[in-house]
Amino acid sequence: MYAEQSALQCPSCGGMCYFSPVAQALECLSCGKVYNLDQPDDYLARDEFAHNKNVPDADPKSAPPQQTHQCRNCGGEVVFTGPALSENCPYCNGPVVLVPGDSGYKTMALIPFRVDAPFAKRLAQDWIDARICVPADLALTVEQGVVVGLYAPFWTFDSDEAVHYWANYVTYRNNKIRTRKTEGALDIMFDDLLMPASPHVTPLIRDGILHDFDPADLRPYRAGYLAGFAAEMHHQSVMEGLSANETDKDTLIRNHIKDEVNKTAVHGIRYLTDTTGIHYRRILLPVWILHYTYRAHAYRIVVSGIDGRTFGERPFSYRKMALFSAAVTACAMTVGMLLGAQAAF
Amino acid sequence: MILNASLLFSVVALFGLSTYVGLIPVHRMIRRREAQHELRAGSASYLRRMGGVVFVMIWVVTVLCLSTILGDWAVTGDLNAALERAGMRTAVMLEIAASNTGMR
Ligand SMILES: [Zn+2]
Ligand SMILES: [Zn+2]
Repeated sequence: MYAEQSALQCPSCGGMCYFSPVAQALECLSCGKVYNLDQPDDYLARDEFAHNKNVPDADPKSAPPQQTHQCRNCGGEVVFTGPALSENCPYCNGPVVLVPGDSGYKTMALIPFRVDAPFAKRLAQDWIDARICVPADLALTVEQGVVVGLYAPFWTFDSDEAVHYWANYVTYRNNKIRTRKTEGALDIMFDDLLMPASPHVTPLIRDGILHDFDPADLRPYRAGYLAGFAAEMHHQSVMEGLSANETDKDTLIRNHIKDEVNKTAVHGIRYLTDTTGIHYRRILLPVWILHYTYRAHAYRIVVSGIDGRTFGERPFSYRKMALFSAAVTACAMTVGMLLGAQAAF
Repeated sequence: MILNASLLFSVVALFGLSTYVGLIPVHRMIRRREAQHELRAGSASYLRRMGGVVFVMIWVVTVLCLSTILGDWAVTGDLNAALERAGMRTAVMLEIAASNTGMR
């Protein structure tokens, strides 16, 4: 950690440096000098690692950070590198306490932040402005929120799935609805499937804002990229990562089967799959998180640090939803009453 | 067209109840719409939010069917006959549904 800290000191004035998303380089907070972090062998960060189910886990452990901030609310553990900008948990905004760092797994690569804090905040506000059925005073609440930059731990998984499936579907012929059975085999290749590597990273973060993952954007793990940001380190073994993401993979496989069957009302899907060729990476992805509280309820808006894509949680205005509901009700009742009046004769 | 207090009360009651119950499907539809436009297509969260259209259908169809009774009642003034006709319509609909699904 000492070596990492000294690498963040400005060689020219001794000041603290942080990673500037705009300059895509280390920037000195005192004198403004910019230091490029690129290296000729950066492309190696794209490499994937093979996983063998029968060989015990031999992934290199990282040197434990001197200290970790642990959230007293959600239990999330993050490391602040360089000048810490926030004293709160990036995941849930809870209070954090300092605990001795424990060694996790070595991060293989990361995508550096490209969107800076003011722009991320603007995007979060724009997202709220574009919602329907929100309380009128919500925009003001969100405006007061603070964005925190976080490198969130993710897996990328490749795998080949040899699936054998059974399913039912429905046919409609000669005015008769019939349920029919089908079965078949199907090969699915998952390539760079992004999976959260921590229970604190919700699938919503991934599916909401990390749409276009490009391995070419990956850079090797270097302290310089983390300077000024929080980061959660990798603590899951590959087996743990695979099993934590089982339900998501199941959803995706079922959807593939539905597409394969390509019939009406496919249901009752069962399948067996033989998984081979698992390759993975442990990576960190840049996320801005804005926390806000509305009527004693906490919400989050997340903004991708890569391309600024935004998604989040928001309260609903019951009054405005009731107007919608009333409008639909009025239409349905008008049509219904006219039909009823006609049917009376 | 016959207007009486109990008919008026029924119309208002159905309207109020449907507006209240409708909060759930409206909430669902908004979340679904947001998912459709903003979540990554085909991702797990996207697929999870896509369901639930059935609830919206059930809500609209139920309100529509109940309103046919009120419409009938409004023109004939005879609630019992209106209920009887609605019962017959329901029976016919169930009959068609049953014969189609081959349950009979
Ligand atoms: Zn300097
Ligand atoms: Zn927390």
